[in-house]
Amino acid sequence: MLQKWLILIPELSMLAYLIVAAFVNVYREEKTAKTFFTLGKYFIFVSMFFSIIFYNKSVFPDIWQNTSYTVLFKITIYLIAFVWFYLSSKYFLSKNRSSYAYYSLGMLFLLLFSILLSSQSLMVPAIIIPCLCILTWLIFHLFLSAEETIAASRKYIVFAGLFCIILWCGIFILWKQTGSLEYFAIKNFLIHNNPLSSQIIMAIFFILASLLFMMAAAPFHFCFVGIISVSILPVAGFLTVIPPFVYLSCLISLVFGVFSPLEDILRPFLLSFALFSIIIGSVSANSQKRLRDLFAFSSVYNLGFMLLGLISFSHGSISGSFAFTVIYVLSMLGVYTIFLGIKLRGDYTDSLEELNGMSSSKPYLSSALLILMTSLMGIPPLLGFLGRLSVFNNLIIQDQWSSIIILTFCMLFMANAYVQVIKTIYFESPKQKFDRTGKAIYTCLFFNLILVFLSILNPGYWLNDAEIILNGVFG
Amino acid sequence: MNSAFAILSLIVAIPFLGTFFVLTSKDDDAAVSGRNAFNVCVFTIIANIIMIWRIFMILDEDNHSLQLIEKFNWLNTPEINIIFGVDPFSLLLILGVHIAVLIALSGVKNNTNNQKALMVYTLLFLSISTGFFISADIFSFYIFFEAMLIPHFMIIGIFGEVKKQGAVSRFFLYNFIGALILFIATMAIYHYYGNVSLEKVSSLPLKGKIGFYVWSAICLSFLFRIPIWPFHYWISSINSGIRNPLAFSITCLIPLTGLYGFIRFLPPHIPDFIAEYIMWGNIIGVITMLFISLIGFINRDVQYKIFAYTTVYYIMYLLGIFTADKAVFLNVGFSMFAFLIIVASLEVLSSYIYHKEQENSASSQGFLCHARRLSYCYSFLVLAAVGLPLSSMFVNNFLIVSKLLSSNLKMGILIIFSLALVGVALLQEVFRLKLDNKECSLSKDDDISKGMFALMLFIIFILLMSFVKPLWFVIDE
Repeated sequence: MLQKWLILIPELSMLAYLIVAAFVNVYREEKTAKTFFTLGKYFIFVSMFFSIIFYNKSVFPDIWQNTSYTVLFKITIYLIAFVWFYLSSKYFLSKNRSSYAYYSLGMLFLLLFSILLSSQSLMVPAIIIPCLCILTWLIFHLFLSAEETIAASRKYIVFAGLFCIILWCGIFILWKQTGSLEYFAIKNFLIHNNPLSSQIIMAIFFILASLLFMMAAAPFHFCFVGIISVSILPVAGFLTVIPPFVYLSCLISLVFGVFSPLEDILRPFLLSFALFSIIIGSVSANSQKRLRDLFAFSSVYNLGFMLLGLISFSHGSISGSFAFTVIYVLSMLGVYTIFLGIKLRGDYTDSLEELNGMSSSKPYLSSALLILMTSLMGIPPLLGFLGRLSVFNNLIIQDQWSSIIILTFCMLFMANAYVQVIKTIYFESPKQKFDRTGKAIYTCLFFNLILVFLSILNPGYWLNDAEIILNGVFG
Repeated sequence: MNSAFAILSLIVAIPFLGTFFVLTSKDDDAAVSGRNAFNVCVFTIIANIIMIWRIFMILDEDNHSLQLIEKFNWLNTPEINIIFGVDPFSLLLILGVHIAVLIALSGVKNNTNNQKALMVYTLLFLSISTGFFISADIFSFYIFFEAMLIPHFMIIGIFGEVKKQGAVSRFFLYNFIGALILFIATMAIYHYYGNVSLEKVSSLPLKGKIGFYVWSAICLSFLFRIPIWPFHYWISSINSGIRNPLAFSITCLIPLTGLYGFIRFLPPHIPDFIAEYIMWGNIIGVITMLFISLIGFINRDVQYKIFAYTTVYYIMYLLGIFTADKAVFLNVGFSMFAFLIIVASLEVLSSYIYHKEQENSASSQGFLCHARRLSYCYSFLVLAAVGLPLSSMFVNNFLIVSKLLSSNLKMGILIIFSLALVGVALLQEVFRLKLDNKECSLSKDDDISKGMFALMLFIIFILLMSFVKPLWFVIDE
């Protein structure tokens, strides 16, 4: 019995935070964003530590199982969340706003992500994904700043509700047809009942479509872009960096661990979503006037690449997609860190017009943005090149030459959007005097860039180990 | 010959380390910081030149295969090893690029516009370009080929003073698409043959549809770097407007990467499906040469004349490379060594004259009559540039042109005509500067400094020695 509780410590630790934070919020008089962050970091470390200790232990192995694969994702998420929570505390301190709700919802997110990552039954996503939708809506809604955000919030909850219904329909149909919700049983059913009925295929498409909505793949990207565009920086950064990583892991588990017998049907399905995301992301990014909107579309574009990495259905494809996701997460984390460092007369700004000639007054932030954008373009020798390499390698193995041509044009479009930013920041004459940037921003950026440089010097040292762990998804 | 000590990696690492030293210099006073950055940059380049000289000494001059091989395991999935290696040809180009940049640096010594950033990007460019020339496998070649874009783009964008910002974006996108095409070709070669050594890439048995597409992609990607029609637009719109001698010299090195690519990749026996395109390439190349040399002849701006000169010579080298004759390749290498140095020196002196004109709001006509030191150097460089027996360009260009004449007489005549035209265009400028003009307000005091004169004399010495023996500086151990 005690052992079961011990195995649950990572999740219980998140819950404990919620209780302790509530007490602190009620009883402590002097509380700042730093208070909640300091409190949260201990609980995150406890979760991280025990996730590593019990990396292969599970309480309910039939529906919820920890493996080295899930732990890899969990640890990465905890680390990213820790960094982002730290940076967010700077935002709340400068704005003198209460951060209790933000950190509590953030920890609740981590708890749900942790459960979702270890799921072994469709019952878990059926419960957790709607909860995540509500949480997303809440974290966005609680920090509304303008009238336009209310419309975006309503739009999100309506579409999230719709896709939750689609998800339930899919899971229900699959349960009716296969008689079970457990991944193992469903996979066995799919292997032994070929050809499959159209109902099963439709059900699988429903489930995957809901996941793609959560990931913000085109054409379901509009809600995500709307939220990112108008929410406050800590929320926008959190939603850009962490959820795509979790949903991708969930998608990998389902596609490779459960629905893999339908490889031939899923490949064009994933390919079309991937290409559509890449096209929409690259074309739309060119017409944006704000950096945050541009990077929201850049996220959609990068998500397309992550999906594209999966289509070869091989061991290499998962590690390729994982590499691309890590690169995306690192770059986006860096980009949002930079956003936190750009202030004009006390207000955070990301309007391209206001960033004219930023390099003269903010040379280090500008250089960091240049390096990160270069990495996102996939220009060697920066980290983004690794992602591009693995995706193209997979496509060539698959003989997907038409996709390669489309991809090349989209990369050019996306590069054009980044070039416009570089031109604005470096080649235009400065118009504004920016506020001083805190040391914390520079420290985080420095470590981010160090990671980018070290990873490219010897990518084998993390990719090889990650690949061995990721291959665990094949069972 | 394998290297026991990673000396090749060192010549890539030294400029890269230099960037860190420049970056960490104090920012308190812009002038002091700029001077420090400049000194670090000069010191780094000189240190690297000494290293290159050392490599020349341990290299077997008569062996034209890649030597001092260094291999690093970089990635397991897909399996990629980064391999470095040099031959006398590539090392000569590295040395040429280093000396050209060093000369161009002398032209920006007193630059006050963001000197630190200029030095950082210059060192970054040198590091990447050195990596490019020592690449011994297709992947490292591609990596450095594309990586070079960013320092180029930043130098042109910030320091090029290009009036049309759109041209800078187009420059980047043109080159980026060229690099993407090479990437796809590299991935295709990797898929069929693995990470092929650069020495073997030209003899790959690529046939049929795949062969056609791969070779077309490779040729196209290199052509994107050479100002040949229809790819000439970006470089003409950029180069003719750049007034910073360092930015101009670095931009002038872009076509060199395309030419080097052709030398490494072009098969000794050109397949039929490429041969037809090569023929069209020759025709278009000659037309571009004629067209640009005519514009250079008509245009009064010395900047455009130098640009026309470099373009015409680069195309001549390209046409020489298209003959797929190994002996011509070596002549191209020897000639380009002098060519790079001459162009950088001419640009520095032209920029000096231009700035004197701007400072004194006076015409520079007849300036050389008053400025003796400048007159000696400028005249020598122009005469060497037009092909007189003053540098290694004389003999080697003679051999390249004679090969072109023997392969196609009409084409050869047109090439000689273009070369003569750009030569005359440069001589026009010397004539203008030497034409006595009593109204010229520029005086003896506006002459180049003694330090600059000493540097120019040293360059003249290098050029003269290269005429005697291209690898005169190599001392056999």
